[in-house]
Amino acid sequence: MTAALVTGAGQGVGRGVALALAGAGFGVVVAARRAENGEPVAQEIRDRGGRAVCVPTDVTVRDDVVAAVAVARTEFGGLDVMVHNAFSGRNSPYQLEEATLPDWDRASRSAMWASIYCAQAASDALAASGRGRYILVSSAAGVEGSANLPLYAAVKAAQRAFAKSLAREWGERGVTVNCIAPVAVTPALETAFKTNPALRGRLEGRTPLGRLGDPEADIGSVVAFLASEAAGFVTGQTIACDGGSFTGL
Amino acid sequence: MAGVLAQQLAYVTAIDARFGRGLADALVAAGATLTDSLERVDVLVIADIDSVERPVEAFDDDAIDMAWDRPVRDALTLMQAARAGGASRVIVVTPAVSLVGRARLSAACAAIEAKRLMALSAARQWRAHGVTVNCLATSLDPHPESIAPTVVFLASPASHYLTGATLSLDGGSELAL
Repeated sequence: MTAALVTGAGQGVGRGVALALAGAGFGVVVAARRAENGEPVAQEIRDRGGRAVCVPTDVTVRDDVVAAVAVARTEFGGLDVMVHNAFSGRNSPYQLEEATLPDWDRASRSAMWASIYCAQAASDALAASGRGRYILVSSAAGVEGSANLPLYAAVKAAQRAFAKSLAREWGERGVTVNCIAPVAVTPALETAFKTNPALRGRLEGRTPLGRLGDPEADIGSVVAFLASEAAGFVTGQTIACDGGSFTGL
Repeated sequence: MAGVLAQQLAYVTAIDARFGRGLADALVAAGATLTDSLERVDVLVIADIDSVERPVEAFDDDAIDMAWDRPVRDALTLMQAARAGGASRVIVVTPAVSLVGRARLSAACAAIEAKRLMALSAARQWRAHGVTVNCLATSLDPHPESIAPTVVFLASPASHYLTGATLSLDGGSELAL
C-alpha cells in the first residue's frame, strides 16, 4: 500500500495533485482547512474507484499536521509522499512598503512554518517508506521575484532553499525533496478572470504552449512522476510545469 | 577628504559583529555618516548572517521564529523604513549557501533566500523611484575587508544602473550562481 498526503487539497492545484496521485494508485489523505472543500475531493476520488479520506487540517497548527499524518498511518498503513501545497496570503498586487506584519505572518506561516511542520510530522514515515518523497509547491516568482506579490516571492523562494537543504539532509535515508513551480487555472484565477477578462489572454500570451495548465492533467501528473519510482534519483530540484512561461531556471 | 559617499547617511545592521562593523567603517572611510535611525537615510546595509544550524526535526516554534521568521520579518521592516526614510541604496548580505542548500541549515537557507527574493522584488518595484536594491552572495563567515569595497561601490552613485542583482562575492569558492 502506498499513501500520499496533500495539503490545500480542497481546491485548485492541491485538488489536481490529489486526484492525480489517487489515479496513480496512492491512497490519499485530502488535507483541507475546511471539510466542505476537502470532502467532495475525497468523494470524487472514491467515486473513481480510488482510496481517499478527508482530514480537516490547518497547516499552520502543528497538531493538525501531526494528526493528518496519523490518519495516513491508520487508514493506509504509512506515508510515502508528502505534498505541501497550501498557501494563504495577499493575492492582489501591493507594494512592499504597504505590506503589513499580519500579511507577512499569513504568508510565512502557511508557506514556511507549514513546510517545517509537514517535514517534521512526515519525517519518520517517509524514512520508513524506503521510497519517501516530500514535494513542495513553490513558484517561479521565487526565482525571478515579483513586482506584484513581493512577500509571495519571498516565501516561495524560501521553500526552494528549504527543499534544497532538506534534500541534502534526508538524502542518506533515501527520501527525495523537490519543488514544482506550476501555472494552472484555479478557482482563484477564474475569479480574477471574471473581474479582469483581459488577464487570461495576457497570461496565455506569455506562455509558449498558449494555454494555462490543468491542475490534474498538467500539474498533478508532474507530481505523480516525482512520486513514482522513475523519479527516485531526482532530488533538490524545482520542476516548472507552466507551459514554458518561465525559462530562467 | 570628501569621498564618494560624502553627505550620505548610512544605516548598517549587525554593527556589533566584526563583519557589520567592518562594513560600517569602510562606508565612513568613503565619506558616509553612520546613523542609527531610518527616519532619514540614504544607504541601508543589512549585514546579518543567518546560520542557525540544526536538523529539521529539532525546530520547536521558538527555534523556527529565531532561525526563519524573525530575520526575514526584520529585513522587511528595515527595508520598509528605509524606503520611507528616502533611501536610494539597499544592500543585503545573502550568503551563497542558500542557492545550493546545506544539510542542517534548512531554516537559515530559507531565511536568506526569502531576503534575497524580497530584495529582488523590491528592486522591481522601486526602480522607478531611483532606488537600487542588490544582494551579496558571500560565504557564511565573510571577511569585511573582502566585501567592503563592493558595498562602497553599491552605495555610491557609480552603481546607479545596477539593481536586482545578486553578486557572487566569495572569491570564487562557491560559484553557485
